[in-house]
This record gives sequence, structure tokens and C-alpha cells, in this order.
Amino acid sequence: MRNRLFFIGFILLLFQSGLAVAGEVRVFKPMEQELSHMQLRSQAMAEGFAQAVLEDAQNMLPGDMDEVRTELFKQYLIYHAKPYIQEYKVLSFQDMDAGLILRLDVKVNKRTLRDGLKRMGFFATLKAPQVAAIVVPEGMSEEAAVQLQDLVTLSGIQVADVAFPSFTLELAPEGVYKGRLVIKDREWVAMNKDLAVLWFDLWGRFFTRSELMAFRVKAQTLSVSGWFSPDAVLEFDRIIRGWDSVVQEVQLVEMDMQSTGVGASWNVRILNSDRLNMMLQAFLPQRGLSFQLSEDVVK
Amino acid sequence: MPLRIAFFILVSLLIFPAPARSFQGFVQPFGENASIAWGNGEIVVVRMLEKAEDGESDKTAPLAVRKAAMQARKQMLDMILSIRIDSKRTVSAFLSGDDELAVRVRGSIQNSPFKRPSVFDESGGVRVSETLRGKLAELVLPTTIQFQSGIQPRLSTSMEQSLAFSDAVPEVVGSGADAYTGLIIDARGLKVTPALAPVVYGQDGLGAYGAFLISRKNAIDNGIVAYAISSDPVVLRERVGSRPLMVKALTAYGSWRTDLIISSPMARLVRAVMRPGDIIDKCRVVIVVDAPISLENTDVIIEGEIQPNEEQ
Repeated sequence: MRNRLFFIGFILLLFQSGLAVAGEVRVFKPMEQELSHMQLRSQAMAEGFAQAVLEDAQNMLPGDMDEVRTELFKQYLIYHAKPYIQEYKVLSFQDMDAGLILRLDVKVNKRTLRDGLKRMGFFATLKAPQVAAIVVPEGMSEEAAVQLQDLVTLSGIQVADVAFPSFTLELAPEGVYKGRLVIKDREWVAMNKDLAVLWFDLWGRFFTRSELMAFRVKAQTLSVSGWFSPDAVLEFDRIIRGWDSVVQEVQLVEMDMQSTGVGASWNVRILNSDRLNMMLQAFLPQRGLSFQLSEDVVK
Repeated sequence: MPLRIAFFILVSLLIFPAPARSFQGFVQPFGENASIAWGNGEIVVVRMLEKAEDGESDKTAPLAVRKAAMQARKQMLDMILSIRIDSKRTVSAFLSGDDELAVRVRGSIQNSPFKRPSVFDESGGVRVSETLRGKLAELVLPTTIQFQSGIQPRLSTSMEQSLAFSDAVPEVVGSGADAYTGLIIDARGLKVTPALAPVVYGQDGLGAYGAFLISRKNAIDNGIVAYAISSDPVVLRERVGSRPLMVKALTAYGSWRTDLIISSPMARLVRAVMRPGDIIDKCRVVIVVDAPISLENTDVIIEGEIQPNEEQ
């Protein structure tokens, strides 16, 4: 039974990894009368970038986003995906009467994306929302109120009457927003004309606090033995750092070189134990390597 | 009991058809213990454990296993370094200009799949393997290659002048070209050297097939071409589909004979066949070469290819 589960898991892993390496996206953009041809192409490119980043984000996160949050994130990325794009190549533009089809090869900068997802609260709020108080100013436009509500949902925040954390928004002169985020022992203030920038500036600080990450994500020690060369250890170090969706903050802490072989240990924060176990099982034993994950939290 | 075993084997073959029939193509031997299969890109090295003083090899001795594994992986690295990327350079020459990449290739080889000697295996050797697809291909295929640029490479003027142009130009190829599922180029007798990114030129001096048509991702996943020693379409079906276009190469080109030249009319037909779709996406091209004559000859080639001061 256990073997069968492992086999099914392995097949799923292969399927999953196939998705992870796919850098090609395809976008259909229907013709709009008020848009020029160049504008249509530009919008198709923006949607292509958003789609590529969204796909990588979904592979990276340890669980599924709900539909509403996924759609909000996609809309957000249409205007904010570029910082995450490492390189891209337009494979083809196919013009038709009904619109155009764009094929784009996109390489996403995974480290930047992981940091971005962390700042936006995805890792912290994927399983359970973050409860917070939100105070909005009187006279706020309906459009701004809707945008704020979308940002609240996108960040996985559940509005409640609590003392901390508390986010207060104020309207400053010349259309500038002023925000204040207060937690028990700290306070952050920011000003910006763009509400989204202001929001993620403040909440990014909240979601990347080390104590919060330590609380949310398990840290363990991974020990691997059976190598014959330190080069192989360093290469595996690179490989495991690329397993963004299952481990974070990977740190090689020890290399043990014996006459019969080389072993090494890593401190890792595990986002998904089952999937990490599956990936290790798929990679290590066929290379003559064995591994052990400590039960204890190491930091 | 035998019936149960037969049933198990049958079920295994049905469930795992791909590995069971994986297209190996031209298997180039490197010495007596190693080979590169130019069909699926698999590189295999088997190394015997050194015998102890009593003349017996201890298949469980950790030091002997480590030594054999290190030697096997060193041999595999040398084989990979000696592979030609194209007419201008080998993997070794390419990596000599990028220390970081060279370290990554070494690390990747040191992490290659590995089988310890089994106590039931009388030969008692370690087996290491790697594939010229996927991650390794990503490392050894230079990013400077203009993948999918659509710009046909052109032969040098001197070569162009020495080629006899053919007047027989075929009719413009229409929907008939779409029916082809792949391309088989018969290059037997031309002493072709297998390469990762060969170019097929027409007699008119313009490229007909090569990296300029293929995306880097597809080249990494499939290999730009596969090499085989049989031109039988049934044998090559896995790679070129059920209705391949068969072309005879006129000559091999380049100092290492990695590139091929085909007649102008056939080059035009090949260009018509190489439209976006499965042929391009899955690199459905096979070059048929001569079967290796002897192991001794292969050894000579290996020695020649890993010269440190090779032209880049």
C-alpha cells in the first residue's frame, strides 16, 4: 500500500515538475474598437507576463489560492508583474479578425517572486487569514474603497475588531494616502499616491517579520549521506534551493568528509513535508544517497 | 508461479512502454565500458571494482565502491567534455571560458544516477549514467546559440563557390509538405561526427535545419537531432513519426564533419516541411550515420577531442 502511494506520488511529482519548468504562455486578446493594434499587443504582453508569474506563484505556494484571490492576484499582476520577469522572448503574434494570439516564452525570477509572495502575505495567510483591524477615512471615494477591499482580500486579511494589528488609512493633501500599521510593539508609517504600493509597503514589513515566519513555518534539519565528492554536495545545495514550493531559507550547515564518502546537513524551513519527502525520494535514492529529516525544530 | 511472473512482466511492459522501447539510436562506444546513445542522449559508464590482494572483489567494500564510482564519473565527465557542440567547439572548449558553469557541470556529474554493485551480480561493477537532455543540456548548450532566430546560417563564401549548384528546383511545396511527420537524413559513408547542434545546409549555402529553427527549451528537452545507424522508418518511428521525409546528404561539412549539406531542391523541401508544429517542437530529425567499426578507432577520436588547446 505504501509503495503504491509512493508510486502515485512520484507520478504526480513528475507531472508537477513538468508544469514548473514550462515557461511558455499563450494569450488570446479579443479585438477592442477603442484600442490600436499596438495597444492590443501591449495588453497581450502584460497579460502574458501576469499569467506566467501567476503559474509560477501557484507552483511555489504550499497550497491553493481560492478563486477570488487568484483572480485578484492576476489582475494585480497585469500592472505589477514586470519586477518578477527575468527574461522573455516573443515566440509569435498571430493576428486574426477576432483579436490576436500571443505566444511568449517567459522566465520568472523565482527568488524575487518568492520574496514578493512573502511580502504580500501569501505564505502567511494561505491556510488561515490574518485577522486585523482596518480603519478608513471619511470621504473616501467609492473607487478607492473598492480598491482597498480588493487589497484586503488579496492579502488574506480578515477584518475584525481587534487591537493589533491595526491599519489606519488617512487622506493627505494632493491625493496622497497616508497609512499607519500598528502591532503590539511596533508601528510603521508610509505615504504614497498609489494605494497598492502603500498597502504592500506596510503589510510587507508585517509579513516578513522573522518571528512571524518562524511561527508559521517549521524548521528542520535535513541530513544526506552517500556522496563521493564535495562538488556533488554543492550541486545538491543549488538544487534544493530551487525547490521553492516546499522549502525556504535553505542553509548548508555542515559537510562531513570521510574516506568512504561525503555527507552534509541543511537547515530548512519546510512548507510542505509530504511533497519534500516525495521530491527527496525521487531524487536521492537513485543516486545512491540516503537522507534523514530531523523531527526537532532547529531555530 | 511462472505464469504470475509472466503476467507481471507483461503488465510492466504495458505500463512502462516508453523506457522499455526508448529510442537509443546510434550507440557510440567509448572504450569497453562506456557509451553514448545518440538517440535518447543516455550516457552510461560501468566500472569494475578493483580486486583485493586475494584476487576477489568485495562488492560491499565502501572504499572500493567509492574509488570505482569516482573513476566512472571522471570518465563520464571526460566523455561529456569531448562531445562536439557544433562545428566550432566542444563542450570542453565552451566550459573553459566559464568557470562557474564548469563547476556546475562537474557537480551535476557527481550527482548523476548511480547503481552500486549487487551481491547477486557476478561482474560486480558500479554503473553511473546521465542524459544529454534536460538539466545537463541546459548547462552545456551555450546561450549564445541563436535558438529559434529564424535567421538561416550561411556557408562561407569559399565553400559556397566550390559547391555545384543544381538547376533542378522543385515545384512550390503546398499542403503536401504538411503530411510529413519528420525528417531522416542519410549521412552514411560521410564520416559524420555527432554533435549537439549540427546544421543542415542546402547546396545553395543556406541553412535548412538547425538551432535557428528550434527553441532552446525544445532543444534541451529533445536534442536538436538524434543519430541512428538504421534508416528503417519503422525503427525510427518513435522519433520521426509514421511518415518521415527521407533525404540523402551529399557531404559532411566543417573541420570536424558535424554539419551536412543536402541538395538545393531537397533543402527547399526541408524548409517547407519545417513549419511550426510537432516536427519543430519535438525536433523530429534523425541523422543516419555509419555503425562504429571498432572500439580502437573510437579511442583515437576521444584522444583527439580532449586536446586542451583546441580551436574554439
